[in-house]
Amino acid sequence: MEHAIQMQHVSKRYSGFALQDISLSVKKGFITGFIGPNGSGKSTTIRCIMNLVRKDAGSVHIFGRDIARHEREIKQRIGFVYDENYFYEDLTVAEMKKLIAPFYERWDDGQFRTYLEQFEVPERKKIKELSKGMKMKFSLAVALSHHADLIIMDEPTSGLDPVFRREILNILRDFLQDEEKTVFFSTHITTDLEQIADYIAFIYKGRMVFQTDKESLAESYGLIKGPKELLDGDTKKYFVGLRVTDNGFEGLTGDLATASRLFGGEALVEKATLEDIMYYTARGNDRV
Amino acid sequence: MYSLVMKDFRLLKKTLLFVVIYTVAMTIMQPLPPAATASIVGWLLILNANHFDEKNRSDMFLNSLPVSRKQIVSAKYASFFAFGLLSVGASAIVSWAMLWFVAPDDFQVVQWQDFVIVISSVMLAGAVFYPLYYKFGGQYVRIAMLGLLFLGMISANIIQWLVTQRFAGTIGGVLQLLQSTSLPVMMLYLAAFTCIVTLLSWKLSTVIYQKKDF
Repeated sequence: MEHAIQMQHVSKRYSGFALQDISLSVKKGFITGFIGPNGSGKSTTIRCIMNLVRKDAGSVHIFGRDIARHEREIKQRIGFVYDENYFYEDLTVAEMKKLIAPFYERWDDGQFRTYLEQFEVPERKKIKELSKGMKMKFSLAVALSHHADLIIMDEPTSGLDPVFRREILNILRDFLQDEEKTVFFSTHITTDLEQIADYIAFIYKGRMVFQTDKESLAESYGLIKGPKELLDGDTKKYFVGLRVTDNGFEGLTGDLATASRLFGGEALVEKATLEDIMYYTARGNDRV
Repeated sequence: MYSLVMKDFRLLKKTLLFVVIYTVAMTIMQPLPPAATASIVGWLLILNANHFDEKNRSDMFLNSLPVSRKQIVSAKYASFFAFGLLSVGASAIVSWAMLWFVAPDDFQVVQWQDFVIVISSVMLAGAVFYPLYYKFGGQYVRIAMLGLLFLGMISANIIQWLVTQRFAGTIGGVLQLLQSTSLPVMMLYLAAFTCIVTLLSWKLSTVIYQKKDF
């Protein structure tokens, strides 16, 4: 299957944080969600993909070409949505559009106007006068108005109310009607991904924990609840993370089939949500 | 790169209105020679364009556009030239209009050499400012620029002291050499000096900017 993004063994070290040996493949034609707790390395990974930070090791290929060597050609085909506002705040929406449009060979003014109307973003308002949700919609309108093949978004739904978030997810779903298009977006709001993502990549403390399709994730991971007497050295190894209280335990397993057989009818086996997976992986085997 | 230069001008739209008013007022009153007036305008444009970029942390935005880092830096230097040309051009138009209509006898009109002086002074200011800005950020560079401004204010006294006390022979010789050099040759030297400094600064800025993380 063709990949829109391929990261191989990328490392980047800062003082106090390091992205370690990250390999990631984003499949063309699908939505890949990138999850991880705050500070786990999502933004740094996205900045490596966008060539905004200089990686210490590894390679990033987009549409099969090295981003470091073909930056301009590749970025013509990328729509990037930032985690916060980096547009010129004193300009109006219309002025900002005039500034951006000449950079893109395939800029579509009609498309942009359609999105502004659909999102109800006022053209004459200054960027600084827009609400956070409006700024995000404007950013999305820009990203979608030059016929980009790949949309990369860094925490687009963070800080937005549920109505705005749902609207943005619907827009992405519409965008994906064209099978040539790909979306890669990071979030720590896992419910967003449960609605629309085809693939999930999970990063924690600068390391990639897994990347897989959503169905496989549901098949492998499960939440098991039962009396703590069921736990011993042998059974504990089937858990990614455990929460043990006086009343019993609750734990996440990454080997649902085996764990179900092992605990049989003695424990309750439930489907794990992305939030469960993120929580228990982050917590590890901490006891509460 | 044209789009990047145009970006600076779009950001400076309101400042350009001030430039017109300032240029007209200063050209009519002439408290300073035309080259000085126009140079101040050019420096102001550099600082103001930088202020917009820094205030909005625009490196993130610019580097997500389909442009290379080298183009971003190169466009800055192209903008300096455009700022210099714009400021001396505006002065020239106003001063020629003044000459045509109401100029008094001692009115100083913008001459061809003013174009060389202003463009050079603006380019040299940018050439000093930008590598430092890319390396250390705006806050430190503005302090350094204030220091330079202070130095500029006291430089007349320093030069006078140097001429009369310390290096009378050497500086006197330099001054004599300058006086014996024709204006076109002097301007040629200035233009060549500006080109060399700008090229070195551009190269240095490019190297610094290529290594930056956003």
